[in-house]
Amino acid sequence: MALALAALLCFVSGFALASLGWSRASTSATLLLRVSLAVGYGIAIFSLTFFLWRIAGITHLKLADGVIAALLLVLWLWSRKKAVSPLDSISSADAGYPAWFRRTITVSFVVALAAALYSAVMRCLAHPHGDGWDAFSIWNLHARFLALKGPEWRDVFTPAIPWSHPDYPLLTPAAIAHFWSYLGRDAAYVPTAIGFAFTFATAGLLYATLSTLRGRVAAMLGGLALLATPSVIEQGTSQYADVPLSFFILATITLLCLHAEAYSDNNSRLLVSAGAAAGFAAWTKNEGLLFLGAVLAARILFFWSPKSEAPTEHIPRTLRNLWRASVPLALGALPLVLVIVIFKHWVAGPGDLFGAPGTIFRKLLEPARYWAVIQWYAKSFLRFGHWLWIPGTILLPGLYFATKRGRRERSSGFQVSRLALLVTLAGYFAIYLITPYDIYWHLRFSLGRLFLQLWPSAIFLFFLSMPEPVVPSK
Amino acid sequence: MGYIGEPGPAANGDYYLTQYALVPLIVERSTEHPFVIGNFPHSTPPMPDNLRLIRNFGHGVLLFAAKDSN
Repeated sequence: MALALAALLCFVSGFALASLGWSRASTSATLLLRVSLAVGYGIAIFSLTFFLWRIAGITHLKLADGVIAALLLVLWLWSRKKAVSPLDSISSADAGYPAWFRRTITVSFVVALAAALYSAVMRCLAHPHGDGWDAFSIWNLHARFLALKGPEWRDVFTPAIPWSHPDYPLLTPAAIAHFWSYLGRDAAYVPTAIGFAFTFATAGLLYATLSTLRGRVAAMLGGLALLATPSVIEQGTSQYADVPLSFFILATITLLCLHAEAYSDNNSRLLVSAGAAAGFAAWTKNEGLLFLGAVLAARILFFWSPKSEAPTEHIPRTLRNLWRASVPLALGALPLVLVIVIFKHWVAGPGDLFGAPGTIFRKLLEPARYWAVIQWYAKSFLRFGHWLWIPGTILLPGLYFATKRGRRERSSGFQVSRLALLVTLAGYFAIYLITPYDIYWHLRFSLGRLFLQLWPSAIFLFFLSMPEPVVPSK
Repeated sequence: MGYIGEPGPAANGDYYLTQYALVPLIVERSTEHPFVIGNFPHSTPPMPDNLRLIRNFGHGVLLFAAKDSN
């Protein structure tokens, strides 16, 4: 009963927040989109509120959570009256594919989804405490301290156990601890369920957004590409935070593209939501902070780039328009940034990456480190998905160049998103250059997961840029 | 609490699991504590000079106390 109440409050809060930018008009795809967003947003809200209740010493969790859920519901119902409707003709691409092709893709997608569900369930049963050291030495350890340590919950950030990374953000640990507090015990199925939820919410979000913007066939192909990546299911059920981070990166990018394509840059609430998603990414892992900075920088850089303006988006480069394009995004992220500042400054322990600033400059001048990172980037690019035969990272570019001539015009959302992913990838590169750890050890045990964080978004952008099928004449 | 375990990076997982299991206690990898957990799942436990055995739980899990503590 307590768990059902927690799940209900979590989902209602998430659904209300995810629905703020949407009008009453709803298709099955946009409903799935909001439900998928609601899963991640709800868990993120549950995490944030638990952290804030802990800071403030609030112990009546059910009352406090009920107030938050009610406030968000009221805000959503009020905002529905003023919501902007999407453009009518969002996607009619499916009619261009022959019936046999659509049937084949549908069957393949259903088989891939069933196989992914089966595989995820079996892995959850086989690894109830997670698969890999980080699950119990970082994420679930932090959750146990937050839930079980009472008023002394800050002890987890002690320098006595620096290997537990006391500077890591708390999205998954605090959400797990919140559910445990309702249950009154640290049930192992809670982190399992959260990992499972994020994995399939990521697939749902990818499918629903592609379905809205490019039709069901593109959505199923995108879903296939994701679900047929074995490491997505492996990492999603290992109780690490990489798949939750990939969810929020994808959420940011899908909302940016929906804002540009479905609303023709005319729904600032979707930008606020995208900013919130980027903020949630920063509250999930430190790499999310890098992504948040990359999105904001990409938005501003794109606006001033002379080649950026798509023919259909005649937006004059004035400060007023820059303000309109960037401020809602920043406003959405602002509350999260404030919470992260509180966490990093007053709660978290010291980080490990920038502990020896004197050596950073020296490392940046060593060509061997650049070569090592380039080699590992090339290797991991082909391997991070744990594909059996053909790497998805070869398959998608192959398809991309095969259809090069028919590619569609790219929206501002697409271009900003692509730039943000590239900046994030470059940021990962720089972090490896200055890492205080043995560079090969660090690359070996983390680079695959970092690529995985960006993989759902890369799949999304790929299928967004695919050409429209030619509708056969009757 | 303190912790003493098998040497080498492969044994780090045993230490992390010990900390995970013993929350809300903080388990530091050091013997400079009044009480110290011993964790030797794959080898014969040593008897550190500054510790005395309080209890052997089996499976290589032991509880030590510092000799100078009461």
